[in-house]
Amino acid sequence: MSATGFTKQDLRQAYEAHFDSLRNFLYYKAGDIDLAEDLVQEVFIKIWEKRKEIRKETVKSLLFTMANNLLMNHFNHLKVVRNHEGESQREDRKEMNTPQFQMEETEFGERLQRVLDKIPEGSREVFLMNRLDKIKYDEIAVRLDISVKAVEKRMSKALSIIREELGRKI
Amino acid sequence: MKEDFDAYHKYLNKEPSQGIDPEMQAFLDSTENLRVPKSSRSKGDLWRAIDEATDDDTEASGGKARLVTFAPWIGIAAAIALLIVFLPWSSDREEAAFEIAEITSKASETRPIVLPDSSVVTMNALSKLSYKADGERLVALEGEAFFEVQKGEPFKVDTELGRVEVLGTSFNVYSRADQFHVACKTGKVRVEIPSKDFDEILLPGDQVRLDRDTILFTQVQHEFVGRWQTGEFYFDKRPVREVLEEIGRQYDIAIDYDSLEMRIFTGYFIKEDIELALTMVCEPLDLTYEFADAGRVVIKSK
Repeated sequence: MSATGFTKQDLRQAYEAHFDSLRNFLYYKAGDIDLAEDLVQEVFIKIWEKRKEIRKETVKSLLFTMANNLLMNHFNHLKVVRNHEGESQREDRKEMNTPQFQMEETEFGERLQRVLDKIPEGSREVFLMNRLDKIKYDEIAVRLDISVKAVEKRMSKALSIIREELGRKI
Repeated sequence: MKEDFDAYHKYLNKEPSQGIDPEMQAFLDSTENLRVPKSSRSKGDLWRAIDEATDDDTEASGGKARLVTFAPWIGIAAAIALLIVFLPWSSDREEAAFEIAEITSKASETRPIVLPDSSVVTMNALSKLSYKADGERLVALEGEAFFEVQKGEPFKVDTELGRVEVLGTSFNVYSRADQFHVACKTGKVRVEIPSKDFDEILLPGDQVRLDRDTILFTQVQHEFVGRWQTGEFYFDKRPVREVLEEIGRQYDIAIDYDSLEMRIFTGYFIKEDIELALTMVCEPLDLTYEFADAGRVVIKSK
């Protein structure tokens, strides 16, 4: 048998390198830290099952794609279960929540949370990756397997919502 | 309202920038101090569970296949239903339905096509796609293509061996010789194989494969569906003949081989350099390759 291209050590390294940003990424999308961590575990286990098809060089964007897919599957599954139970479609989106952050000054914190609530998911995750994880656009593009232009577009969307909300001077 | 945030993009990428509104800047700066909440589990705890789950040295569980069997009475009912539903569709197939646009891809060519309904079809090498230009969402395919379908009316793909019907989704269709595969990347895909009375809905990651006379249901990672578009060709327990034919199509080269019919290949090749591609396939199978003359490679057992 030929040696596998992706060893347990590679898995561990990938975990050390990407655990935080994967967990945060999932948290930005779904607003549930326990779910985020469960899914991160699932991602690494799945990566290991597929190790023969994986190269170290490309594992990063694969991790994020898998994380995203698992999250989508999770909510699709809930949707199926709920539809089965006869609940309305409208309630499905409630499962994806805006992440909540610990904030000190309450007035400012409230406004911040309100703004984040308004930013759609795709823009929100990119915005928070840049702000909290301090990742530059080109690196976000690599992780999400999208173009830098697409990152810019999502960020512009977030910025225009922020500008609009600040303009209201609440 | 089109806004220009170039200065902000520079600022957020820690490049020198001018023209940032102070209030915006204060807001953006404040977001840098936000913290993702801690959970009850540490990074180390979480790793231990992964470590355990990945500890056994057994083979990767990917590619498990289950055989689909059909109760004969269901088959009869399905055949009648299919006749009723699809008669108008298939009867005029040759004459009227596909005479308008016909697009073929050459060897080693990957060709993206935007259909009138703005669905995108990426054709793999040596494939043929036909469709009516009047906006009817029906295409005929010979070869292989990856589809990203716009939401709307049902979208149908007709091939020699089977049919695919979807709403808005992305999926891959392979239809060459006696092989017909459909893999679903997103959304739902309905696949019909009339000769087998097969009519099932695929969900993301599902793949159905008609291999001569056998129908197989397998699971693939979504990210591997239509992966050939990135120049990586993955094979999961495929006859080496099929793999070599794909190399031939990708590099526009004839490949001679004999007595390899029974060899099975799992792995991938990259479209970058033909020698590398051949090595990636031949090496694990103990085969050698030789460039006989221009445009011809001979494969032999070592």
